[in-house]
Amino acid sequence: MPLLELIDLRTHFFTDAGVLRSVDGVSFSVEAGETVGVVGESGCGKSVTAMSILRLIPEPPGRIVGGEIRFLGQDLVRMPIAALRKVRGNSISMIFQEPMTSLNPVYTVGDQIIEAILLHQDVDEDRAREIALDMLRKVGIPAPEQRIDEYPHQLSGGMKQRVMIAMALSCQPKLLIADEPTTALDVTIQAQILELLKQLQAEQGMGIMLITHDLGVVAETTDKVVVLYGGQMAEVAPTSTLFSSASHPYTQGLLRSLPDRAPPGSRLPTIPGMVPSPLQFPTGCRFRTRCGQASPACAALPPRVERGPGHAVWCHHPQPPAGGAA
Amino acid sequence: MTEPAARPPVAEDPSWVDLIWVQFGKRKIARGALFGLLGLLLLAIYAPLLASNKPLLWRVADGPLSSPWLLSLFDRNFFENGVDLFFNALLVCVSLLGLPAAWAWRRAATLPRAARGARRARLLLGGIGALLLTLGLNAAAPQARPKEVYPALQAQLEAQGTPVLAVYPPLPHSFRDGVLDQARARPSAAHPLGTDAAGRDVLVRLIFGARISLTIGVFAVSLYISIGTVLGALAGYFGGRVDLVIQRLIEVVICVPSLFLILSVAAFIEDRSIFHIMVIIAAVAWTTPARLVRAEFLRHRNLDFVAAARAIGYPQHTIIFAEILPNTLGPVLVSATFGVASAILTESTMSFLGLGDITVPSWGQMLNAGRTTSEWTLILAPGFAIFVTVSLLNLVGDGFRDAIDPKLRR
Amino acid sequence: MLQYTIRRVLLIFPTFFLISLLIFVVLNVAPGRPGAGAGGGGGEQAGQAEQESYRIFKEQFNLDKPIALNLRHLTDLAEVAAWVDAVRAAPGAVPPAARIDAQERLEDYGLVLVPHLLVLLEDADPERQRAAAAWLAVAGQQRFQNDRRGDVVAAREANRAIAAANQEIKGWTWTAAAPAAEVEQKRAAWRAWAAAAPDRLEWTPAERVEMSLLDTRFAKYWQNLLLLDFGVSNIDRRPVLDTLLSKMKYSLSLGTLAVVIAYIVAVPLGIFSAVKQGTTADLVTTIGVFVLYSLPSFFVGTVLLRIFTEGDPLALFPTGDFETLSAGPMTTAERLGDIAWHLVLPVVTYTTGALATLSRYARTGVIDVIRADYIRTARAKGLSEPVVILKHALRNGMIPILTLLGSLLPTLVAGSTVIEVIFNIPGMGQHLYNAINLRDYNAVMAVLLASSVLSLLGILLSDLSYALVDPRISLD
Repeated sequence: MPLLELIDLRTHFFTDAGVLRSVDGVSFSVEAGETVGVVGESGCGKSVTAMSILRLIPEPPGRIVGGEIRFLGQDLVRMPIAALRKVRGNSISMIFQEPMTSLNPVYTVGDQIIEAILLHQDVDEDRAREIALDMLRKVGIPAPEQRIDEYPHQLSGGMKQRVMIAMALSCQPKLLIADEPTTALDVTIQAQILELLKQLQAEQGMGIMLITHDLGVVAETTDKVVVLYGGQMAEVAPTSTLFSSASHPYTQGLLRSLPDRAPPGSRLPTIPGMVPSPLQFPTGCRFRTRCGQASPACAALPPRVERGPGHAVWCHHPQPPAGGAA
Repeated sequence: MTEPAARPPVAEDPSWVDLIWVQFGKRKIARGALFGLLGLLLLAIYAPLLASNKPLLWRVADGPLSSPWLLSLFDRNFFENGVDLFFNALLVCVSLLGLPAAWAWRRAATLPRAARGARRARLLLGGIGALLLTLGLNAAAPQARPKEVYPALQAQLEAQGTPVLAVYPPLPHSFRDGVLDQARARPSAAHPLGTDAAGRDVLVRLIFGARISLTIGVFAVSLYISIGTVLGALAGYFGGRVDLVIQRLIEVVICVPSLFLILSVAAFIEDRSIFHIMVIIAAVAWTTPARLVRAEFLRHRNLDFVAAARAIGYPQHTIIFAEILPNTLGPVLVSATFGVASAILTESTMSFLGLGDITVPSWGQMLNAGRTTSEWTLILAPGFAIFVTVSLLNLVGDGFRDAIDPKLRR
Repeated sequence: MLQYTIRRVLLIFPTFFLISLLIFVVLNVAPGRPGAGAGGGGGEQAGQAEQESYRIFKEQFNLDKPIALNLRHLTDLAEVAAWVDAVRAAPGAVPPAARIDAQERLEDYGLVLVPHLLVLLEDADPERQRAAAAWLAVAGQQRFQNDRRGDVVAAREANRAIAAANQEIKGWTWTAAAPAAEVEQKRAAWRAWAAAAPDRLEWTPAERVEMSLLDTRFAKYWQNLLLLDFGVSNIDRRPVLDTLLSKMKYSLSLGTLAVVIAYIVAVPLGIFSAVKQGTTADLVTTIGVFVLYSLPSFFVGTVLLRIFTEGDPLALFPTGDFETLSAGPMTTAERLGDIAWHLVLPVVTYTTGALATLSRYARTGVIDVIRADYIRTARAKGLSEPVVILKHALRNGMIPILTLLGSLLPTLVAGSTVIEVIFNIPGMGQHLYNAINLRDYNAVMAVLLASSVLSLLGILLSDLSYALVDPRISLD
């Protein structure tokens, strides 16, 4: 049984302007100890998928309208909210893109970590503080005894993200959802944070769902990649397979636009056009308006095509591995 | 999260003003309130057409057909107050030029943006020119019309057996002169809201009161927005000592409870007119736009596009007026809308306390008169007039604020 | 924090000085003559006695002095001659405004005129000599000591001497028909008077500077203010500060009660509305609050008074006053009950306005915060919704509400003129209203200054409490 399994998840936003089908049929799974990368351009539904798992979608206007989220066999979508709260921050934790604003400015970082520990673990306050200090030490914060009583604004961005990680991991979750944890940080800090996550994963054996738009990060850290386009599945494959033999024209486009893959001196290939607004998604395959391979058949929903072990693509015209793929 | 909806494909990017306008239009309540305000403005402009004791048409026996009403519009002996003369001039201009101007304004929408702005600016200037011309002609016109009381004259003539043709506006009462033997009349067909202690029709005074309230609101706010914007811009742009001095001044003014100061100063002025009242309100209220503009300047001063303008070598005044000032328009517009509401409230309060201009039909003063007679219509009518006006302005202000705030943009 | 507080408290003094200067100048340059109603008119038509009493009145309240800068010592002979001539000119020869202006100057300028008038006393024109002597009798008057502190007996003694001296020089004027000998004798008296104390009529540069800055209304006012003397009312001649303090308790009880009730109702209402944002309940609350927000308090008060008091449909409450005035002896509980009964309508009126503002602030504050990333973090931790709202959202969302409390402090004590006038509550607001209608200068100044000080304190308090609640704000 996989740790987490999304089955045909659909999350829609009901706004004045119309219904935004931000997540519209997303299915994949995360195994214990595995790191799954979820990639796609801005607006492809990555973050909404992540937030849907813990049902953190602002409601209204958002709502999970269909599908299942199975965590250790339990459906989180239909779970009573009180039971879900025992899962949040305990067996599933999240870290967010914006460390700057994700911590409450009026409480010390210690307060905010201890709060989570007291909530989910049967310990007294002194013990909770010890655990918090321990976690801060683990995530590499210097002088944690001093930092624990500081306010978020006294810490740098990288430090704040470390605090977020410490908070997320303080209850030894089975699954960590990291929503672009490094986007807002400097490149050097980025590498440190990713390294830290890897190391902590090795220690605690948790599954990680890593949301990112950075294929470099994906290549370095993940075991499996899920490619989303317009809120729908495009391709899922083991990381090495994806980089060697991507089949979806969109995935191929993404890979082609990586700078280190283009011959030096040439113009970097791009995917023509822009991600359409969620209000104006085309019917059938949502990529067809930008796709070089599109045919009239693409007006129908694309079928799931198995391409190998753990490798599937949702496309009417799966492509052979692109030329020059490493 | 979800991305903002893509704009519909258009030939050119909509300007910032257009964007706000579209956002504002999406808010049905605010849009309705704006139409309500427009209605109130039209009511104020066309007040004499609804209520006047001068006949629209007048003919004695087979004599010449005349319109004392039309002549009275420019009669400085009849409409003694500058506010009324101004609105009468507006009445004439809007009636003659309103529709063609609206048509030309609409047509300009099809033009490319630069030409559209220029065309609309010309239209606006033309309108202001026409208004000034009308006012000037009025000031130059001789004022030697007899003070006839037409209803009385008509009754007298008809008693003599002379046939008289007289067509009056729907409410044939003067806003100024009461009929004493009709004092404190209950509501009736002739006086829909009854009369006050001086025998003046309450509804008529209510309608003419709209002129006073709107004038106070709009002019006081324009005055203090101008003062505040200039001072705020100076403080925010130059910083340093200029900022320090202006900041101190603002601090000093906001520390004095404004209503107390307004009442005290108003009380010490003999023969207060509504112009005094507007100046007093403006003198106390300019700190709000000054602080807003200053804050916006401080925010924008170090932003990239201003740095870019400096790097290109734009002169300082270009940077202030073309680069930074437009960005402050939004917050200032919002505060101006709420400001009109609060200026109207302040004036009503002053009038209510007997510290307003006693020569004009102010709503606050009417309510004060009603309080002493404790006649229901005299309390409720002006009270609701103030309430409705202030509500409409607050709703429009809310709408503008929501439209400008990108956080709330959907 | 302590350092910051001390610095801010010290900053209050210069700001207060500037405020007092502003109010003083604004009230003094406002058209209309202060005290004209109380001390008798000063115009041409005023009788001799009346004119004299107005002059003394002006002197007593320093109204004969320039507002903030005294440059009268720069007056030259030609100007004085022109004024003297303007006042004695035939009717119609000089515009009335110019005549009044000249007369006021001659009345007000005092000793600085004396050297020039002495020159005019030697003028060839006997009429001018006569006018000069008449004005010398005014300009040469010594001022009484108005100090109500210190040795009262000695002061009275000194004032008696001054009165005698003033009375003596008043006699040194003559009519047009006076014989030459009398004229000569009186002119000689003036010469002797001037020679007796020549240094009184000459000023060193230092004295001139001092005179420019300190011999002004504002400086005199401030000299007293430093001793916490706000002057006496020109209506009842009682110290205005005493009256003010006695009025404060009424405004304070009304204001505190109303603001406390407003907070108790508004904050939960705002939070409720924010949490339920977009629902029907929110819509109803928002509309209700909006209606209250747009209703002017004088309208609410008038309507309540019309509904709930004597002779009305529901005569439940008294028409006004703070308590029953002609009541017999009451126990404390009875008295409190009586006050509460009187205060129901004013408090309701007061509360409606404050309530609407506060709950709008509370709602916006919580809505702004409720979408913040750290609220999502709190939810992701597994915290329950009440904890998320009350612990994480409220503390941030209430910051604007807290600052509002500071700005409410002056209204708390100073009260609301409108409500106090409608319900006839003898608080500071009504006191100000009565004072401005009676042109009671010192009383108006005192109310404005007192409420400004409260404003300053309120702003300071709200800044400090801001820093206490929000650790991001560092005050040092």
